[in-house]
Amino acid sequence: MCAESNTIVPSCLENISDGLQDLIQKLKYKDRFKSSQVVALDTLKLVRELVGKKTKWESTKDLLDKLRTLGRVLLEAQPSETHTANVIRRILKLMKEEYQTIQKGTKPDEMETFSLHSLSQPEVVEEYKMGIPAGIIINQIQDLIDEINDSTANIAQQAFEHIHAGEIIMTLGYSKTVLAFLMKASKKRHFQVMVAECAPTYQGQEMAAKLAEANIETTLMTDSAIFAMMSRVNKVIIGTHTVLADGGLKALNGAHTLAMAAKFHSVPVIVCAALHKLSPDYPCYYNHDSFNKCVSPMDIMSEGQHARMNGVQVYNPVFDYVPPDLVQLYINQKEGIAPFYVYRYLTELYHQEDYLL
Amino acid sequence: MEFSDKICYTREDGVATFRQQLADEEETTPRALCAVKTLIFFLKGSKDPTISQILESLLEMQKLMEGATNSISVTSGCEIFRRFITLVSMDALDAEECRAKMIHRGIVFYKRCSEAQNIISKLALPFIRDEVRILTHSYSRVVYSLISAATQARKRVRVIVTRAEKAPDTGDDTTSVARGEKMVEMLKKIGVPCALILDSAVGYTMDKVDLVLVGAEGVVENGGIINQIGSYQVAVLAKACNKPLYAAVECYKFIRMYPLKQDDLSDLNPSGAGTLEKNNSTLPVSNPWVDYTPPSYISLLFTDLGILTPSAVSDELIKLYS
Repeated sequence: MCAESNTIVPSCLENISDGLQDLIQKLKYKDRFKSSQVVALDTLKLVRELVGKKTKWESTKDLLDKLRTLGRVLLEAQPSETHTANVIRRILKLMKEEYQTIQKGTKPDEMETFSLHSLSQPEVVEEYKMGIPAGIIINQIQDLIDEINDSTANIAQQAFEHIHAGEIIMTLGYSKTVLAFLMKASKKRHFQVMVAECAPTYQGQEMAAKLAEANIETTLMTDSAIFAMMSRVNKVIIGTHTVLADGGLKALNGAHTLAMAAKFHSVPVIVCAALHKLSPDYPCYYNHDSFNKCVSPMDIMSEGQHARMNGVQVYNPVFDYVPPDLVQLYINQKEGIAPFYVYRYLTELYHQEDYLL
Repeated sequence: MEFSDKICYTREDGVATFRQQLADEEETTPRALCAVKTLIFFLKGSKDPTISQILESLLEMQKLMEGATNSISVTSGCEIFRRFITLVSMDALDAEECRAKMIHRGIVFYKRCSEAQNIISKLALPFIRDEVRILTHSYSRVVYSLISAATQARKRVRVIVTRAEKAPDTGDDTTSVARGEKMVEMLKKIGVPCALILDSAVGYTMDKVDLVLVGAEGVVENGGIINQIGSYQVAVLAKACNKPLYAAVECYKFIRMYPLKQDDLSDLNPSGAGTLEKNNSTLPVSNPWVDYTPPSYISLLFTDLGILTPSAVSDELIKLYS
């Protein structure tokens, strides 16, 4: 690990300071996370620790503010890892719904703030003054942890609907979700997979090895061969790091190229992504920090070459933006949806006040 | 408070007030809000004994105002206004109390809607990065306020504005009014480097800009927009050149309309051909005022309800009208 420069923890989060420091160190100094689930689950553990400090929270607003601060601190540590903020937003929404249920004894009204309808009730600004027992929230957190843990399996369940016998499927790099998806389908269907190795990490090689172990006919190819091989492919199935609010993707570098090649050959692009990857961010320039992360250019250059590259700027981004019109289907743990339908999940999972932590 | 001083007792009075407001507050207040204000004044002076009569006379007032200015935003603003002031339980009240309640809600509605432009500026600001080059069509107050907010946030913005000629709203006069010139004047005043181009030069200029930002007179059910003539062209070119098109529009401009093609807007456009006198001969002229841009050309809508994709608009409309 790099320098032990400790981040200054805000005073309201001092009682979880150790866990928080650990997570911040991981976020700041780890180049690429193998799995988004790890980040999400670590965040949820922290949240559970925070909530569990009291048996009953006298002021829900207090707890909500603490959670928001936690989200902000984690986002500042690593702006491009939005899963931390996503799960915190989920918890905030679940808490607000629980609060409404406790207060009013009925299910919260679908028509929340900021719809046109709400213009007629501007005086209602929820203050969340009343208390809420911690046990209820911990249950919600546990439910969310279970949901995230089961998400890969639930997505893989839908594999039979989408993969048919004799198909040739193309994928890019390494994705746990896609691996599970393809392995599940291979139990009943016989198909071939072409994997693009995805330089400079060459994660695709590991993917190809694992697929071959599962007795799936696999072909490994270079990224430059994507367009050439696309005409033989029936479907493209990829994973992603984040699903953005406009229905676009923040995926591995090379995903945009893959999607454009697929569009040219009219090959459908299917994305397997669990719901905790859905982020209320739009791909706007101002948040460039949170959009892309550039890692060490040593990955691209071979030994001894860097001395000669004096005047050359080497750029090694981790992510790629794929616009929503290049994607045909998103498979999440509940169902498959079209990109333009993503906004519905946004309103369902997150409260609009929490979009900006 | 601005509402206490004016009351309209008759319909004619109301129409006159409306025209007066349009003339006085053209730069700051959108037409829909002028209409809403007039309706509030009219409500105050109304002597109708029953609620349904009040609502009927409001509807008549709305029709008169629509006739005074050809803007669909007046229709949508008034529709939503009428919907909101009645969206309250008035079972146990008499007509006077109901009227007072409706006036109160109307004022609340007006206040919220006047905040709309500021809310949009705040939400859409991250999309305007430093040193961005924007293409905009004609004059839109919302776009102007967004650009001025960006300038105040110390971002360097360069704007290219289309001349956007259109025939004036009233009368058969076919001399065109170039609304883009007004936009350029206002941008120059706040120190934004801007340039005026012909509508026919949009294709030529599209490569030189980063994004296209337009206002709208109305947003229809499928997420498309109705805007001054020329917007559709700009949208098609933007799509062809892969530039994002953003529409900045307030929530009270959402209309319950579902046009499938340009002809479906024939209610909003002058019917028949006009004429142009030139060199002692009469030339037939066709001058529509508005056109419809389908949602497939629009990347995002910046509204005060949040940033919406075009597909999210129908949900918002359903929430409103159910």
